[in-house]
Amino acid sequence: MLNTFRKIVFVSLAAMFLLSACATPTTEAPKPTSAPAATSAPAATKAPEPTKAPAATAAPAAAGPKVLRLARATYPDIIDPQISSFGIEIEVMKFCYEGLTAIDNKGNIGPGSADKWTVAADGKSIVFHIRDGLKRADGTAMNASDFEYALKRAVDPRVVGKQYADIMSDVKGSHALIGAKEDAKMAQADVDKLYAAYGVKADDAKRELTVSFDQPAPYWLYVAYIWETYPTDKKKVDAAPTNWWNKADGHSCNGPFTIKSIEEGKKIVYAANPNYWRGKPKLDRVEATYITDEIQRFEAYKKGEFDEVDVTPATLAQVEGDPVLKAEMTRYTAAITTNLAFNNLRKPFDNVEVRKAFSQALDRTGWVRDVFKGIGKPTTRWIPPGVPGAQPDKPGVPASDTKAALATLIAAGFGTADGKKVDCAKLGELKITYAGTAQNHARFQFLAGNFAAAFNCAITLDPVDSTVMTALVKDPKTNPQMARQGWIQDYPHPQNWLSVYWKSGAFAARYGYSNKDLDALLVKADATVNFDEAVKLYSQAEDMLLKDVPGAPMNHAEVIYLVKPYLSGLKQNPSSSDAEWAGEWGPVWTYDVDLTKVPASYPKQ
Amino acid sequence: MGAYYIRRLFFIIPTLFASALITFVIMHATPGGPFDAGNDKITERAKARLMAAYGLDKPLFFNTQAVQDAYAENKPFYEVGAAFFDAQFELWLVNFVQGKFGPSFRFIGRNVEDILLEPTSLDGVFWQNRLMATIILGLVATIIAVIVGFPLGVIAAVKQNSWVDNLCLFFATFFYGIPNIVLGIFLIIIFASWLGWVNVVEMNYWEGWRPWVLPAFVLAIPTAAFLARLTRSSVLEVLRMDFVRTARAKGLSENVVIAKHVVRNALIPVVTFLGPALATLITGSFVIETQFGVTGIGRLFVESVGRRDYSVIMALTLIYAFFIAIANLGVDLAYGFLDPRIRFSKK
Repeated sequence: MLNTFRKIVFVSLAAMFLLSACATPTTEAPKPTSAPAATSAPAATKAPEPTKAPAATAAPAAAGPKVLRLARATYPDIIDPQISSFGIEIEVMKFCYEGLTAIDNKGNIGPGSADKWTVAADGKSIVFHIRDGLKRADGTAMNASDFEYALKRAVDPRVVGKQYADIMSDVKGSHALIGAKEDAKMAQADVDKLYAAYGVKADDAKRELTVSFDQPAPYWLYVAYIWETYPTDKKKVDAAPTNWWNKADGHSCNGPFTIKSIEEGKKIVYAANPNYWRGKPKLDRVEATYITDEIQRFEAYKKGEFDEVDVTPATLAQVEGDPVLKAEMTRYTAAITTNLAFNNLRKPFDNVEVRKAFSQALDRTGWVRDVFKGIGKPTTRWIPPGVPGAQPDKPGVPASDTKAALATLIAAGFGTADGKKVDCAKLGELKITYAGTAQNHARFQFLAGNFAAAFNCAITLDPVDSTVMTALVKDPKTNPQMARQGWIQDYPHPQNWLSVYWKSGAFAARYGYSNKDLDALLVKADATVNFDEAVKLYSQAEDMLLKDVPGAPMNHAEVIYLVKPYLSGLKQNPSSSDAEWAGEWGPVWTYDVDLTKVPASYPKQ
Repeated sequence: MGAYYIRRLFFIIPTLFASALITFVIMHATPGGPFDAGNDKITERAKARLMAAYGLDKPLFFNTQAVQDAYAENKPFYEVGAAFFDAQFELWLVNFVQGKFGPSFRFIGRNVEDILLEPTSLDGVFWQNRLMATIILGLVATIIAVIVGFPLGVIAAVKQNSWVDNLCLFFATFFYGIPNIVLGIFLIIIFASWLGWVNVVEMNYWEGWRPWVLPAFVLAIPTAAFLARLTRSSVLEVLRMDFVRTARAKGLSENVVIAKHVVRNALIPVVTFLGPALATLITGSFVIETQFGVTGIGRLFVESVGRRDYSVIMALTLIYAFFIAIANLGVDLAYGFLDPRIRFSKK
């Protein structure tokens, strides 16, 4: 008996040993991106075997459902339109719900659940007409009061945990509601008092929803498209006020898809909504599977378990070295801008010339090339290309130029007596604070190297916990001297990039930045009903902002995804952030699958 | 004997209280709060509102302001006294005594006990939840660790200094040194990408035993390796004892000597290790849960620390403390069975 056992153990061990010995690393060392032509690869390094394209089945188009299988990284914490604020949460709701307006694949505002609207001449109100025959997926008829409920719920003090209610602050009477202490047990009479002045009124007989504002807000047509306005179902919410959203049947969708099933932490399945007003989407089903490990997502995509996956710096080299994968790669600039944020209240960055000098010392091209392996677009401007009002060809903050940086700083009085070098003592301690991850250490060492090379002054690297970092930047008293901050677009309108961020008291307060002239110009732009005229004013405002250099824009993010060739329609929206998956902000109802080209592993049911 | 174990069970209560207090202090001493984590778009106004809504604007232990307010309002003395304890820790404690862990600050609208105990899918039966997923993973890993590690240790000791011993030692050292995360990716690539025996994305953990094998194996391997080394040294020590020589002199076969006399006596240090190891395997599976997509509490715990989800951190710390206390109690119980000479006095 024992002998047999010994044999089994031995054979098992031998097998394990053999497996270990036979294994080779799966990821080839990435090739240098700019290797000199004369340098040949070492003999021992074999080029990675190209991924074999899965053989297409000869199945007829009607053989199976059209399924889009998305590889996703992070599971959402909460799926409640009036509470959520994270991109990973919004992407779920976008499948299921549609707001009053919608964005087309060119970034233009267009009809959504409202088929038409009227903006008042003074811009202080918008009347939305809810389209006739609008239904939820379960067939329930919808009217203006469904949207009134959502817009009221977005600021309701009884809804505890609202993270993005401030986006509603343009609406008349909203401040008292948003500022009230959240209390699920607040008396109805007290809430009604607060709502009495609230500028949202439904008229179901006319199918009209009127939204009024304290100040003119014609741009609110764009706000009317974001998740905060999605029509949650009152009946479902009342049945389970705090966690109605956690189960698929809690969502009465009016968007292109319904939520078919939710497996917490793992998978969300969406099914085409037959009652969607544009008609049933071409895809029958979308499956979002959540896998934290990027290598695992990538391997699953290669094996045909996913139709779309993100490409990360860790997998980029392998993709670029593989002809099949490279052909499946799609990359484009996203509506995300990264800023080197200066605390304008802290010395020496309270001096605009110092901020200019640091902007000049910043090697943006190297930052993208060396730190992000080429993923991103260097920029000196704030508004990304594709967003109305963007001026990508125009100079922004002072561009990268080490010599000019030195000259600027010396001219500003920070030079030595002979005027040839920077007197570091005059600058005082210089510190870059960042969330202390391994990736960030390399990133911020690069930045510190930039400044040290330009000014020959020591830069202190100050890594902190990522949560601490987020807490620090929210208050100008604690916001570091220098930190990486930025903006991910909520809606493709310059108001979202300028007024929401840079008006005094808005996010600009974190930088300790305030410019009354800029505020006045933005107020004027916000109030301008004519879109083209408003965009001109926003462009002027951006120029004014960049002259102050409250921060130094570094790069617009680029998104890179692998998309299987049998998928079509995942068009790039020129002004989308698409931070979660390729085509996230596009017209998902138009996406299609060519079933004649899918591999054998593609779902049959 | 029975009274001893009952007493030990009661000692778990102060242990849990101490764990809760220490965790609470450390947690709140760490900079940043639940509404700082992740999303820097949350404004200061929204953050203040959220803090107030969840009672995080109250003092940690004693609310002197509430006492002053109650006193100024001429409230009865018991209300003034109660106001002193209108603080975060006491509120948590009151909830805990009632069997509630409070609301999660991350999964807004959900209580911690719901997050731990609700089935993770709509059609899931009641026990298919996060807590059970981690327990199953830990138990399967423990079984694998014992099945692999213990026999290897015994064989290595019996064949001391032979090639078998060297191979076992190599195995133990090699696999003890490989981080779980590396081994996990390695096995996924071999068994899923190359051999195609399993899917890279193995999702249906509640539909059979197959999905559990790889994650449990990866989780078990370092423990199995350590167990093999521990068993080897323990068996070697016992092999040199007089009673083993006597057994052999009696003419018993070597297999009987090993199986009946050596192994049982060598088990004491092994069991001592296995108690906390079991608790560690049950609670320490963050990397594996993340890598293999298991929706369990190991993953939840680490994510909660990063997100400063205080209620979840408190709940899971206490669950872990409870597991470890119970595991240690189990070890003590096992001593008595393994070696009848070990008895616990009443003193």
